[in-house]
Amino acid sequence: MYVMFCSMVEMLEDNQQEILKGVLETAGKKSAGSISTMIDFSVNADVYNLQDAFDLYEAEMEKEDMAFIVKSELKEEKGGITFFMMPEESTRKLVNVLLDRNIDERFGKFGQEEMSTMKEVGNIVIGNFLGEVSDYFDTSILHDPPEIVHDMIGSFFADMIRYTQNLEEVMIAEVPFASEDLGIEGRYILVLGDDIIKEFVDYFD
Amino acid sequence: MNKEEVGIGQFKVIKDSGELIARSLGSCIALVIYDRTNKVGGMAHVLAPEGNDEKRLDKPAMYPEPAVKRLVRKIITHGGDKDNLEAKIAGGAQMFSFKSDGAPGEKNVKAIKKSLEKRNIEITGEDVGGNKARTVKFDVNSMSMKIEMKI
Repeated sequence: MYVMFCSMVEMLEDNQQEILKGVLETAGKKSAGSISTMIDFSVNADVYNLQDAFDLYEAEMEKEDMAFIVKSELKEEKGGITFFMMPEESTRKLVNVLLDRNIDERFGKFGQEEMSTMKEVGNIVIGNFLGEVSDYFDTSILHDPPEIVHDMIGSFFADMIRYTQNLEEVMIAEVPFASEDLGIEGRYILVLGDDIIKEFVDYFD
Repeated sequence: MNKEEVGIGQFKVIKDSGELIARSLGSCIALVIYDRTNKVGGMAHVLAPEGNDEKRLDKPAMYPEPAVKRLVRKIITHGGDKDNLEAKIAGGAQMFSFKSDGAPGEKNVKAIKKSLEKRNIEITGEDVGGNKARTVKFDVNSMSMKIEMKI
């Protein structure tokens, strides 16, 4: 798990930052576990402190690999966006498993059934992460119904960075999911803006 | 052929021959300005319609107005004539909509066009909008732009 903190969070005491990281890590594990339960594979999470969203994702912004991206925006008073992203081949495998097919079954194109399945996986991952964070901070972080997009990874990251340019403070938490055995990988990313970060910081006062 | 990648917020200029490439553009814009007579052309990879230009000094082409200004200046220093300049643009797709910023791709296109119009630079070709990402290549020898999309 990668966590990028902003200046507002850095003003917290060290132990408070550790608690916040711990909450995000627990949420990451819980959302990873939601996939894990569904398809029986394990995930690992580590926590790092990173500083700049642009530097963090610059290399990703030019990637032309195709991926499925499930995006949801937090309800307006909170301010933030959240994504679940999976490369095309991993999505094919995951969808096959969830639809009770052979994991390596080839199908021509992603139809309604496959897209809905992937959207639902994204919805579950997002819901579990936000639910855990909400519980800890005794608040309610709700999200809009998710949208799904199938396109180049780079264009998604550029849009995400553009979104962060409008915010004074940005905090990003990323949870990578991987199963070496099944050859499936994915990422959950949460971008939080000014208001919700302030809510977290105020909680520690 | 000399091929140069133009990263986000960057701009590059080539004289005589070579290819400039901006990959995986969503709402971003690949802005190309060139002087056909003097065989010099450049590309900028613009991120957003507006923002604080001072925030990232290492990304001089993040926003339309500074991108156009700097690209024109560099083309002239490479032998281009400001009276010969023409432009092509591509990108500005609507991949995601965020409540806070409406239709960024569309705003990006408008802001680029405004900056070009201000300098009387004619747009000779464009492929903008839609909801698919593009990779854009510009050949400085033929002054032609090639758009790639994946479906």
